[in-house]
Amino acid sequence: MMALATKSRSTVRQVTLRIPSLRIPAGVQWSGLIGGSMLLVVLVATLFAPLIAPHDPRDVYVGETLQSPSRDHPFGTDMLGRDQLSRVVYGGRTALMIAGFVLTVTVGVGTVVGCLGGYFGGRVDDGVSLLLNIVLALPGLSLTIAIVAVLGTGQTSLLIALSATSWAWFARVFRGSVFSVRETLYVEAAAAQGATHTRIILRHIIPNVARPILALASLRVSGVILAVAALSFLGLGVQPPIPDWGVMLNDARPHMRTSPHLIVVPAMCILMVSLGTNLFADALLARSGLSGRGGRD
Amino acid sequence: MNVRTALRRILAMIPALIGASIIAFALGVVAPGDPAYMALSQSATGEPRPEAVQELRAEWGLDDPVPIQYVKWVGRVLQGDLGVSYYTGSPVTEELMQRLPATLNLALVATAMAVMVGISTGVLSAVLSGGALDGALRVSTVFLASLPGFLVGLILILVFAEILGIMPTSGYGTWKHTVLPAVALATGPTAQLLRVTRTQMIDVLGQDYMRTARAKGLAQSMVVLQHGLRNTLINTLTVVGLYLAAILGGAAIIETVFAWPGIGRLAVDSITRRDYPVVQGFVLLAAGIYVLVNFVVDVLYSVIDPRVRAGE
Repeated sequence: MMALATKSRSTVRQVTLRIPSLRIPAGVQWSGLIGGSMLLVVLVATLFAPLIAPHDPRDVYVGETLQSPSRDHPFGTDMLGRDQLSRVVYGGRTALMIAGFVLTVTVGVGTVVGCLGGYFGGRVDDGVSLLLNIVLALPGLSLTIAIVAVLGTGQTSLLIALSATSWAWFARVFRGSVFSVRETLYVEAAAAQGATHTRIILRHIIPNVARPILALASLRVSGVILAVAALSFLGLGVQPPIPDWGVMLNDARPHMRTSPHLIVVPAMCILMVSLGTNLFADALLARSGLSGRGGRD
Repeated sequence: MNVRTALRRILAMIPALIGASIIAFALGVVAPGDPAYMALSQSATGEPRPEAVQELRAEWGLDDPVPIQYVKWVGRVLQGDLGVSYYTGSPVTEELMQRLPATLNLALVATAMAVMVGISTGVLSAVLSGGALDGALRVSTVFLASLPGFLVGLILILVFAEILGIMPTSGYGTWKHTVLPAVALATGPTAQLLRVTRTQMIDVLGQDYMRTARAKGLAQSMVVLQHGLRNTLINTLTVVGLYLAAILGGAAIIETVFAWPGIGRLAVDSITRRDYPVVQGFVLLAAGIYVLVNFVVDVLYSVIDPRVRAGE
């Protein structure tokens, strides 16, 4: 899905966290386990990339171009004779690094803005709502493309563009959650004891809304990874020779008939991360009592 | 919906449109290169004269303070003047309008596919909830929703064009050219729609009025189609609007994969050519369409759902 496009309404609603859920049957968490293990495989593979990769991902082996999988090149070689397995594990590093960065910015900025609006309400909230409405009313992917256009293609522009377009969604969800706990007794009690705003927010509000919201944020990982792959595929993201799944897919296009493994390998990696996060995050959400379906089915 | 609410909804679009225009304008300001110089060096042969560049800068008001430039720029945009493409030298509005029908064509076919397949399978899945077909549909939904559109496109090309050879790999013209890109574009939204429809339908099937309808002696199929589907569609509609907007965004990627001559591919090509006026025009147009689609969905929603109307 084009996760960058976000729902917009005339007013920022108190979000009741009704996102479409990917959960399979109720109570059964094997989907989460499968998802988690897929992510683990990718994480371990990228973390230990130097140990797993049989060759340098940028090394060109002349005379060994477009080879099918073999003992020396378990996933074959690409059109320049580069080892496909090495490229794919290092490509995972690129993707996960970008996703990690974008997610950190999203959660950081989203938390601050969401707390400001949700906790203080009134004028502050009016301002926050207006800002969120404007940002969310714009098509995310087109904005990302526009930012990349100005900053020039490359990894840094990609980081900035994706961060700039994904924080607002998180801020809105956070704002809604803060809103719903602001009126609770424990917050009132803390305020009555003379706790400062900072203390109330840090000690009482954030810990109470964080868990389900972080689970929700983890759903974003797949969105970001897909966006990175798509933009790099278009030549707007990560630039060669840096190994990246999107770039690999684009490189493989002219040769896909004769060497389909060039498409299959990076495609499987993207699918593993995306499917893995979706399954895992949904299991997390279900555990936090946020199945997104009000407990039904 | 009365006139006042309609007016309020229209006014609510304005901040978003202003935001979009500021972003698009900023893009032109921040972009490297002198627009006047770029435009002249495109239309004339050889190096443009410095006086000519100066003249054009004065004409376009490029030496004015930025806020004044913005106001003037908005004035020109409102008259349909989006500047001149650095690459082709023709007006950006013309370029975009030439390509827009192809994008709309693709987006509408994809949306129609997603709506038909997504809703019908969603209803089926809900009615047979818990059965084998439902299970299979749900597993494939998770799978399909995790696949990015461009990857679906690549796989479709590989299978149907390269290996089987029954569809063209890319291009524009006949219905055959439309099938693969439309399917690629529709896959994600179809999976989402299936899920939403299923959840909504299961919800509706448990309502009292459904029991009443069955108690009246209506056949199960009639109950599901007449009472169930109608109430399901109300909630599904909002989602369809959002997906249409998302489909327009995703079109940029799919259009490039299939060499489809739409505005998305034009935008991607223009970025590599550093043709900023075209990118600027694309951002404005995409944001405009997005805001408009959301507005239409809002209006439709209140027209279809009597409760929303009554609540106002």
